Amino acid sequence: MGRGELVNGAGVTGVLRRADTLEQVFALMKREDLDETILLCESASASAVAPVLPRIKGLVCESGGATSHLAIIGREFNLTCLMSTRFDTDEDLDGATVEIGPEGTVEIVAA
Amino acid sequence: LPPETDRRQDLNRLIALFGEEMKVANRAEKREDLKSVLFDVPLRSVLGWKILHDVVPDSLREIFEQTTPEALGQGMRRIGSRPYGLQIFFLVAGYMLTREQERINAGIGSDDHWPDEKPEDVELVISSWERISRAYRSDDFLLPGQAGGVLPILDDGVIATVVEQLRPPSEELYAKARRMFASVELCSFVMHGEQRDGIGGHGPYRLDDGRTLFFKEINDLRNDYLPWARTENRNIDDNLVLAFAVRPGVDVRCDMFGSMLVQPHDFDRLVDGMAVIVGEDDGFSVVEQDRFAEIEAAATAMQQELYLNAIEWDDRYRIEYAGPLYANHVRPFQRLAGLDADASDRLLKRCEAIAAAAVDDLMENKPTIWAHMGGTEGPMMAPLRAGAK
Repeated sequence: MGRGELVNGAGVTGVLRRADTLEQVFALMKREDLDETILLCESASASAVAPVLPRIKGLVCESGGATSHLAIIGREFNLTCLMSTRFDTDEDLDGATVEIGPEGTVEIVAA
Repeated sequence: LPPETDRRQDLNRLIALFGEEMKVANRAEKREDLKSVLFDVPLRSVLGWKILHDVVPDSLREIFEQTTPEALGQGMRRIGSRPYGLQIFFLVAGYMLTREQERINAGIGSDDHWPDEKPEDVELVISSWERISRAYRSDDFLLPGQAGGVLPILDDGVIATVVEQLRPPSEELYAKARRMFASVELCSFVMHGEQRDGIGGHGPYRLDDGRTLFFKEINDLRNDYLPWARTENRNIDDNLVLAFAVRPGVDVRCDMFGSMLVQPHDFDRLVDGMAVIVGEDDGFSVVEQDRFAEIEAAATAMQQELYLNAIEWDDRYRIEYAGPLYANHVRPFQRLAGLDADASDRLLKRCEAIAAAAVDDLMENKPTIWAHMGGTEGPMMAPLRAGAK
């Protein structure tokens, strides 16, 4: 379903949640199950999602690479980090339970 | 044209050296493409450079009534120092990039004399950078790029003292230290308005036993000079340092922005010794593992408070905050020179006034300097030409 550059981690399963706007980041900050979240974001800037980075399970970014600030910080938190991810679906993935594989793949486990 | 003077040739050689290294570093990082949801990074940067252009010559004259460039550079040769490499960089970059924008606006080619040139200010800025850098670095270079990406600043005695404190970290300790450091780094990044101010490193230092020592540092963590940094939640220490001794196979590179890149990113298997330390005026102290959790928690709480404050900023202040942000690059030199708090307050007010006066024009007339930096095939920074004194 998707593939990216795996820059840290060996795979993880969690719930994809969008974090492209401040409102979405706010909503995430209030979630009690944030530790089950895999962040899905367009920007490779770490500051936008700074409040939630220490508490999430992994991140899938649609831009950037291994030297992006988001990837660098994600590694330090030992998150599974997928950068420059491309999806072969137009489906809204927000809320889907996915597995990030050790080869940098993203597969839906449960919608 | 009158013949070039020796002094002008020296200055032009230094301008070219700095400009070319910046061109390479800037394009490698694609800095002209920086985007952020919280801050207007491209415009606040241009505004910040203008602020530095307007205040740095006067500030340097005030500072050098108290001390010398060599004493400043010497004073920076310690663990956890602020000022560090980024502040030296900005002494030159702010002045010279704004000068470049003004030359472009006036239609002056890089080989042409500019009637509005202030050669005495150019000389002050460039010679201060040269003299501070020579005293700061342990080698004979001015820039990391000249020296293969290294930034050695510590004396052998200090290095030996640090080596005594290094211990092979367990996997758990290593992970905890990295996580704590990342939390502090995020706090610093948000505090400095998405500028990597305070985040850097120095080294690598080759040890006699074949290992390599390097330092990753974060400073300015208890800043209360930036108006938005006067938070209720505070970092515990003003700086935090990770010292690593690694076996061969780790490539450590510093750049002119004071930053450090370590490859491979997962170099943990090559770490032979590690120490978490806090730099102090007369040395350093070791941070024991039982303090990691409170340091991480304090940084996370401060970062979240800073974030929640920053999202309230309007579009104008997302640029105008350059006033305090760039005053904060000059202030460390003032403090090192022994100038009092009044001097720093005057500096802050002046920078805020420049920002407030310039921000509207900047929002209406987008600057072209980013395109120049990203695309010019000529010099990034024009030399001084005859016609100037």
